[in-house]
Amino acid sequence: MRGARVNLYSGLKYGALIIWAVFVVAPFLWALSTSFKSDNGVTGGATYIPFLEYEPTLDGWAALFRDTSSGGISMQGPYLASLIVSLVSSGIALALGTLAAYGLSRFTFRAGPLSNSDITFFFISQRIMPPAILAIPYFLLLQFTGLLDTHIGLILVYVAMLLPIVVWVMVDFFNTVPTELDEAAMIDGCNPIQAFYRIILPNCGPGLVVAGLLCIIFSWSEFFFALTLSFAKVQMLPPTIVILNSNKVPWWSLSASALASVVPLVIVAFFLERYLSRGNLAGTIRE
Amino acid sequence: MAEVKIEGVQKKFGSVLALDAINLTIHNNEFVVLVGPSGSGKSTLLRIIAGLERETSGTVTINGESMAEVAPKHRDVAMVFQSHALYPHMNVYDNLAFNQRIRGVARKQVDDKVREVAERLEITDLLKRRPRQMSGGQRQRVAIGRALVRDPQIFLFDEPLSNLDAELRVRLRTEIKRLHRELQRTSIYVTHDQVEAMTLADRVVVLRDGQIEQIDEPDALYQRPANTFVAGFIGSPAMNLIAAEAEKNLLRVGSQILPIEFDHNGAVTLGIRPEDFLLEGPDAAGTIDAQVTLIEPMGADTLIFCVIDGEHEVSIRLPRHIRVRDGENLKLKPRQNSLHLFDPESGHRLN
Repeated sequence: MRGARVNLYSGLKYGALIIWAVFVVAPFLWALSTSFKSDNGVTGGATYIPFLEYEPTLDGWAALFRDTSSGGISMQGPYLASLIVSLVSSGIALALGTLAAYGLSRFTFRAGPLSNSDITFFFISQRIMPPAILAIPYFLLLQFTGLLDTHIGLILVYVAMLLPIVVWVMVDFFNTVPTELDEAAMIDGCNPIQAFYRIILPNCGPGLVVAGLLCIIFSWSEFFFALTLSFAKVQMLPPTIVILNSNKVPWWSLSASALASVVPLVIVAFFLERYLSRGNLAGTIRE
Repeated sequence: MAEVKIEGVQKKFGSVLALDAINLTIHNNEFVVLVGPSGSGKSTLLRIIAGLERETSGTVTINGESMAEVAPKHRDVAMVFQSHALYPHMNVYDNLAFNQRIRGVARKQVDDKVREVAERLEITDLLKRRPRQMSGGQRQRVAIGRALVRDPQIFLFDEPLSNLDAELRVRLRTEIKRLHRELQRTSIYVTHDQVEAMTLADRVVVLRDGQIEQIDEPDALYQRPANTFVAGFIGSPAMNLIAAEAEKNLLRVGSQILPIEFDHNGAVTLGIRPEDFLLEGPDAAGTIDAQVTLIEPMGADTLIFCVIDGEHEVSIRLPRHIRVRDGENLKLKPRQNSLHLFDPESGHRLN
């Protein structure tokens, strides 16, 4: 009786998980299938299995590398631009954000009735605000400084967008590292900066991984600023893909480019998943 | 060679007064223990000496040099923390070597020093381990090693044994004492454990509420506590403190009378250590009657709880061969010169 109950329970559990997995993976499979279809393959009714139901072709993928003049969509430029902007902005945001978070975790700041936790909340509150509010000020600001439609301009905006995430994640992490470690380091001969880089930061690896992962995900898939603050010299990946939707939709290339845009995140997730699942997140410091 | 001089040091955390006008001189090579209940300010004082906390007012000087603007790393002090504070991402070797490396000592020299200290503390076989792969005792041993590698002028200990189990605590305590005797370095040790204070110290500083209650050698502290606080804090089980009335050379405890060799009139607090009671026969003079309420055999001696006149609780420590029964009436006589008399208002010692 009891065994039957357990079986029913785990049956339900796995049933639910399978449904969810299908729900998550199906769009990707659909896109994968579509990316190998030709014009007729897409419009000629729903087909799923290559070779059996339709003749696969690499046209959709090939178009990613062709110039627009020859009917392609030339994805390399936007791909590279997105890679540069998201990696550089994530790097800067991590470097500045960890310093800010360490400061907020270890030193007391006061401005009238406001103190550390208010400053931390102020950082997070940046993320509560819808980005549309900032689009016009950013546009004018970048135009004024001549940074509109440049990598640097976008990187600056992205750093501002990512900093709150880093600060928020890292303050929590630094708070779990006992201050005795800082003190031991300072007595051992470190100045505060050395104590931070040589002792505290190396013990916050999992925090850095989490913060970095969030940064890369957010900056890689960011759409709104990429659309409004860059257009000709710099083209970012997400707007480029969406603009494919304009007149006659090339579903096969759209699918191929969408899949290609997910690849870096899959790679990052693949490596970090191993790191995080080793249980490194818990019990690094507390023993 | 280091003499630490603390003059008029006061520390406030916001509006809370943690230390109030502390004056203390720690001599060269002396082992001084700061002891007191939690919140007494003993750790704060140690951290001020280390430079981890800044005094609100007053001065700390080491070898005549003011420490007001000197960072912890330039004070030539090493500290052992209660939580060991070993660097979790380094193995034992690197933990021991870190302070030498960051000070730019040559690699060969660092290696020699680390191995010498590891040998001295018998942790050579642990050198490759990470802190989390060791037991609490091993970690604290390494933490002591980290201080030893420095060969500093001053050793600071902040309750280093509090997180260890009783047996280990006794072992490491002995070891710390031996190390101090071999190395002859000025050492300042904070603890709330009066046994550690008594066993380790050349001099004990008893603190309460940010003030020094008494500074003395362990023996003197035990035999002539300056006030009721020190009397009750030092010694286990604690000294019996009984409200009494003095009249010339007589002391009235409840309905009973004890002769004393001290001329005083008025209310007093009488202090007697549990081991200072002698058990007398039925017709002895100068005794007080007490009724046994509880007996705790402790091996070497027996701890007996009694009441005098049904209201004053006292504890008595008798050698184990003396047998008493529960509820028995005892005739107790205080040992000669073992009575401590305190002012009941201020708590100060009278005799």
